Amino acid sequence: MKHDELKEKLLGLYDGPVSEKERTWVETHLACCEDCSAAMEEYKKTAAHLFAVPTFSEADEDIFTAKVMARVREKVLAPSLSFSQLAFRWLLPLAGSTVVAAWVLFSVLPSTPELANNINDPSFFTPQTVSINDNALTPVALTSSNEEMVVGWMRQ
Amino acid sequence: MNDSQVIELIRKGQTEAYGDLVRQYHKRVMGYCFSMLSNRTDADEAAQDIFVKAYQNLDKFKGDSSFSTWLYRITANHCLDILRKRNRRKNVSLDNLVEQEGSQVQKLFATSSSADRHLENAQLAHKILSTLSEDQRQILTMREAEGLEYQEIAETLGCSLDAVKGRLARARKQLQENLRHIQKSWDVQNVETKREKDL
Ligand SMILES: [Zn+2]
Repeated sequence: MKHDELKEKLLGLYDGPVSEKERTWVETHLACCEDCSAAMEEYKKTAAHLFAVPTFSEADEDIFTAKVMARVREKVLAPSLSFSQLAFRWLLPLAGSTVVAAWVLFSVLPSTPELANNINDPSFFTPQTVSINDNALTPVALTSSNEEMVVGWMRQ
Repeated sequence: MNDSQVIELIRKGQTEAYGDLVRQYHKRVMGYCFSMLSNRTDADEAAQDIFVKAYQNLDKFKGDSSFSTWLYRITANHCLDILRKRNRRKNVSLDNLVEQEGSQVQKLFATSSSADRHLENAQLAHKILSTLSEDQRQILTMREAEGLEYQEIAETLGCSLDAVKGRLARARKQLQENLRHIQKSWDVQNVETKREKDL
């Protein structure tokens, strides 16, 4: 094992549960390797600085507990929708409307001849070509504009 | 009364008994949230959400593990989610950190971690820890801030003891490397500024 790997391994062993063999190995290595023991000390110092946890007073605890319990009581009084409630509110109406839609599609439509025929007719869904009346495209004679009408009316 | 007896009472409808559990685990949950989120307001909000979530899922707690481990698992997952969402928005790169806070990083390690420096340092510590992956930050928080035993970490994360050793070793090494990088870059910057001044 390369020394770098040993050094990394040490970082995951020095404060953990180790076997007798591991403990002897850690102790022996740290005693004779300055590099690793310096790295270990450096790491301990770093961790103490970076992971300092703030202290909490009893008052903090009281306020916090009160806030949580207020929210818990709210949940007890207004429990979230259970599955059965959900079923009554949404699933039943949804199932009902699906049944009605299916009934219309399979029973009502085929028994309504004109609709059924139209649907069975292959041209029902294809757009029909419509011939354009050429006359419709010729410009319509312009009538007098509003302005001209007002001027005419004023002349009168 | 132990945790299981309190839970039994709650299940029988004595909701108020839950207050005892909240009080008992407040420090641990809040401490963990603070170490992961580095902000008291966010930590407070997260810790509240965690306790409410735990209450709502109390019927899923079967007692296979201790209540504290179960609660810890909820806490760990909740904070990890928040951190992932947060990091998706903003990722702290090592170089950015050196540029913005280099001198502060030096100061952080020059002073003792006394209470009065704590808040100021916490912001910076948070930025340094943000250079780690969420998983690395999580395992380091469990061990270094919360003092969880390796076995407890294994139970919380649902992995083997050997896996904990390996992950902890990698996270610690990464943290040291990142810090070394920050300090080295800062030294280089310092030398350059000094040279400019001398010229
Ligand atoms: Zn060594």
